Amino acid sequence: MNPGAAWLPLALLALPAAAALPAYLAPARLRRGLWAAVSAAALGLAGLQARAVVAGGPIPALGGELLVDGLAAVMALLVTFLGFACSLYAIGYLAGPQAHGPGGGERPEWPERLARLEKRLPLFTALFLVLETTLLWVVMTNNIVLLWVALEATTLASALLVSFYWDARALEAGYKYLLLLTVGITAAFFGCVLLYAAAAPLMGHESALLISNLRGVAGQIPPHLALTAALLLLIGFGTKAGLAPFHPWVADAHAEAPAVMSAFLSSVIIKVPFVGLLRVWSIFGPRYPALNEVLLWLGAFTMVTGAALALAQDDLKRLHAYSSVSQVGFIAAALGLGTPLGYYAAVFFLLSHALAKGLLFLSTGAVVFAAREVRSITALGGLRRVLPWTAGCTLVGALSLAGMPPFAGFVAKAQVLLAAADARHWVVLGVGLATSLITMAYMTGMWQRVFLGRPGSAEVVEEEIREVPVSMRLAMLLLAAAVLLLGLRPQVLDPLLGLIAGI
Amino acid sequence: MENLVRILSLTLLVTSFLAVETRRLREAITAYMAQALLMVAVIVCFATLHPHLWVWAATALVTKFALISWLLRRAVRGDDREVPPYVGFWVSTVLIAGLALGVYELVHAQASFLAPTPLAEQEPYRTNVAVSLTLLCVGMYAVLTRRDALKVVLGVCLMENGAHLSLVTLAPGMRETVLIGVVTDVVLAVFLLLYLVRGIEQQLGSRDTARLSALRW
Repeated sequence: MNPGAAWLPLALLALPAAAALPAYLAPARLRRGLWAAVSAAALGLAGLQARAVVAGGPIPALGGELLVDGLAAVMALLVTFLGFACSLYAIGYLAGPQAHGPGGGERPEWPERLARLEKRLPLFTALFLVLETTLLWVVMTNNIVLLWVALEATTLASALLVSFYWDARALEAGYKYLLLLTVGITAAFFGCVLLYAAAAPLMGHESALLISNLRGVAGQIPPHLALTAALLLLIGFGTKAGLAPFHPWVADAHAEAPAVMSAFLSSVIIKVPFVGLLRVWSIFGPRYPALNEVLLWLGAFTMVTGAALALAQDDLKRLHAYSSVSQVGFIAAALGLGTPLGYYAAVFFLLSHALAKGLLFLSTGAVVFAAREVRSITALGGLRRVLPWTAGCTLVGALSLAGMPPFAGFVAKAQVLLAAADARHWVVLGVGLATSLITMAYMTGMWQRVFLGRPGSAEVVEEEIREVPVSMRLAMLLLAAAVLLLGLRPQVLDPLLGLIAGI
Repeated sequence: MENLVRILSLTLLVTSFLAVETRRLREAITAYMAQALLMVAVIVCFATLHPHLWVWAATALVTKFALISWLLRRAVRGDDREVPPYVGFWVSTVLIAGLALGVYELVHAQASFLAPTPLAEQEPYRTNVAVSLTLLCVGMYAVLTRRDALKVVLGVCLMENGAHLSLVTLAPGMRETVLIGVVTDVVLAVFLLLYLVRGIEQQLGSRDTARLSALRW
């Protein structure tokens, strides 16, 4: 244990939350810079925290209410890294018509939708920072009921961000998002409360709240209670993660949200429920193999469902959203294998997908930004000539997701498939391989149709399209570099991932 | 006390029926407020056995009876007639009655399955958990069958009431600060849902959720 480093998780939670009000009140020129600076500082803190965990062990804080172990440390790094990339992207994406591109270069016309909402941008920035705090709270909390509170808080903080454009489509998406997730997570509420209530008679009311204590009494909790609680958690957290058949909200929310929000949603928000699932499954999975089987098959079903839906899409953002559903199935299936290799593969895949999908949503946002809100793949085309940077970054993301070397996605997919083979789950291995092929098809097909050839619609006029502002390019390049680095040096995260595999 | 809890619980279920079926939104909200008061009364009954539950009763009074009811009332403007639901009144009455009876009997009979402690298997806890889960199911029924977005939100409020009430049986020893975290989430969720519903009303000119169909596959 590393109690001396307790200031780190507290600072990490406090920083984005404390910056929300100043960001709301700051003038436009300062606001985005403040957001980026705070995000960079949070990333720095997360880095220090990860180093402290590797060197000195898990960090408890607030009397054990927070506990930063390997999983929490790596997830905090992910949240803050994506938060920083999004804040960098937002410098150009949310700049407004008065902004000048760095270097005084030409800048694309600001989408009409954003122009109408200039007054609400302070709220966007403030809510984004609050959202970052709630996500960090989810990954670092050690309290089983507050885990539910924090997860619901992420939904609440993101609801207005999803519906930010405030037109009929965005409102429909936001309403469905908030309603489905709030109703779904009520199941998880009962799961959390049941686990707490089952453990309370065994070790007292206060101790039973702490997840780290559950492992010690797991064997004494009546099987029917443990199984009921775990399944309720799966329904609730699975809804939040976008697992099929609880996925209907995913495409709408991703498609109608602003690009930075879609990126954050797909890369981080749908991943944090896996923290809860991993913790509970690692405690009860070894004891009750049926739980592993349920998660495994749910993951396999999700893989195929998401891939099939993605293949049928013409809308760029909806394609990526359904792709996320499919990829989240890989994470669930790897967790359901119940082996140390499975846990390692699940978390590595989670990280790899978060980076690649974050990159893809930001680059899709760049395409849509430059092409005046056109999202149809059929209508777009030939954009490689006018959006070379965006094309390059999208290619990196697409190839990674398709499982091509030397990108992180190749290593991630290989690990999951190897873990399945190692655990002798041949059907899941087969489903994983088939899904990978379908993923390759729609990802490479998407890139080819959007960036090669010619535009399919008169709406898309190549002469009027300019490459996006430098800050947006920098954000995309940062994520592309991370995807490449993780692919070339997957062992760079081993000091942290090794701690998770040993959970 | 068992009889008192039973009477309060049955009346609570009647208010949930009224909240779901009443076509005038302001009257439906009044039924919800009555339910909130009954919830507080039920928690007060349990507080006589566990004194720290007085804080829970106060929390329920402030959040359910005061805050959430105020938010719901504020959201109803002008004509408070509900957009007709998917299921007609008589069919709905039979369905709710059947659902409520079925769930109540099932949970009451099988309470030992969900009971984390021997105490939870006994009365009045047994009735409490049966009523809570019945309330949850009636709320879910409202969410699925109501077309008026405000009635859907009311259904969510009923579900949250059921979840809140179940804590008395499932986790009576839970720390108050954790409970406050839970109810804060619930109040904020209702506030945000109503804020979005208001936006929908302004954009579409109606609270009819059947018109929320711009987004398909």
